[in-house]
Amino acid sequence: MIKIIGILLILISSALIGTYFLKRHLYYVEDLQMLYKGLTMLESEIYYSKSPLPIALEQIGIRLETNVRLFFIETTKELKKKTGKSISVIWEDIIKKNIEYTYLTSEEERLLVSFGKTLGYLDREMQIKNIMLIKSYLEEQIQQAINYKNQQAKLYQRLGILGGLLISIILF
Amino acid sequence: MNIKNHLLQVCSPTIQNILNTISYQQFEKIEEIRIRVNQPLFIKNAKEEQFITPYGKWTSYPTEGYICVLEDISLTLELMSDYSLYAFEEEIKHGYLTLPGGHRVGLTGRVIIENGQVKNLKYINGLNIRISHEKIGCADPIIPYVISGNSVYHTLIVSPPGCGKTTLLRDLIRQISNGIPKQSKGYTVGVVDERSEIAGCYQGLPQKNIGFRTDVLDGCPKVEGMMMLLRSMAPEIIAVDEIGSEEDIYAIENVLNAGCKIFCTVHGNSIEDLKTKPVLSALLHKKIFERIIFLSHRCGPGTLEKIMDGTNWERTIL
Repeated sequence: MIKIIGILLILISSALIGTYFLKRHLYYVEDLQMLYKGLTMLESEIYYSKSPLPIALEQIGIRLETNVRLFFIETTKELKKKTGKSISVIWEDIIKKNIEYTYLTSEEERLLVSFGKTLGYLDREMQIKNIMLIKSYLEEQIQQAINYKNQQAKLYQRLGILGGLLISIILF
Repeated sequence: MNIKNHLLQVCSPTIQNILNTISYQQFEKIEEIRIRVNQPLFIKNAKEEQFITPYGKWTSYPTEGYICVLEDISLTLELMSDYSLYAFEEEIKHGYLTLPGGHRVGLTGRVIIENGQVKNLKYINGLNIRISHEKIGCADPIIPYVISGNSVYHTLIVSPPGCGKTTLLRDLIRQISNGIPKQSKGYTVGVVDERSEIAGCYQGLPQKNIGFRTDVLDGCPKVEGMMMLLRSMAPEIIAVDEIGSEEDIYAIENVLNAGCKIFCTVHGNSIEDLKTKPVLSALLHKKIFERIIFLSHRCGPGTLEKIMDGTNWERTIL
């Protein structure tokens, strides 16, 4: 009896580990898409309505889901305090502090930080080009991640269950 | 919010600390704050120019003054534009920014040209913060000369730069728009504020008191603006700042044809000076303006020199 319970426990937990990896990947894709959406909004806020950044970022923060919105919300809060820091410093701080609450990787962190260096500077054309640059990277990344999900990620789940079975067979 | 708080918010921390030592009363008197790369920070009030040391002491020796660095300017600019220089593209193209509170910042730097026109400024190397003083009641002495029974006169304000013509025009607009008890009813005034100087609009909201019957077209070219107001806002008076081009004169004629009164200002010293400028002399010869008001810097900004009757040049009213 105890053996059966043990086997079940192993099976369930290994299946859960597999699902965790699958889910993690799905959330990563979702965060990438959310970031892409946010940047598209920023693009139109800058290009069409010429809103200043504190207003634009606030609006975007309200409309986004997942923790990616933290980047926008926290930056707005900091900008409104008018501490006299430059926006690239503020943005870098916020990204580094909040990236752990999202599923984004260090590669995206690096990109976002360098994106912040030219945020707000000079003219709209420059802003748009800059946003387009990071968007094209995201597009590629999203595409890759979706392909990966279709091919590989389901494997995790199956591997999890099979791995569990293997362990139980060896043990018992 | 007062002038000091407005300005401190938009300066880089170093400059903020230095300016913070200036008292509120002294701030009220400051006309200009100049920040240039690798040059001392200095402050100009009605009487004199003074440098200011890193510890906030006033001095007349340039070598003792705080030397501004490039970072001061770039950070100040970032804060002034609310971190969004791109949102002020149009203004920067014309060499200035408007701050909350209606203060103006003049900019110099490397000009980017495209198709023979100024496209933008980069590598900004100098800022001139021009503090806009709202002098409620400064138009009191001229009001009796502008009102004529049930109407007002076409009025032209003439003065050299920095003598308070915009300040005077603003208060004139405010008083005429609100109406003056026992003297005049209130008139609907349309203001075309091409450089955001009259109403000092920040994100479209007037920061100055310009009266409750006043409509402001902010950042709009004068010629188009006057036509837009005529077509849509039914103004009784149209006010514009710093006329001078031929198109301006043409637009003013349209305003007159529509039966509106006009208040405007122009750079100049005297009637003789105006006559030497081709466009303005043509305007004067049309004898449109019934009142021409001359200002000078003789006893501080806004000294009223004389008031003339523009339809009869022999006649000086004051």
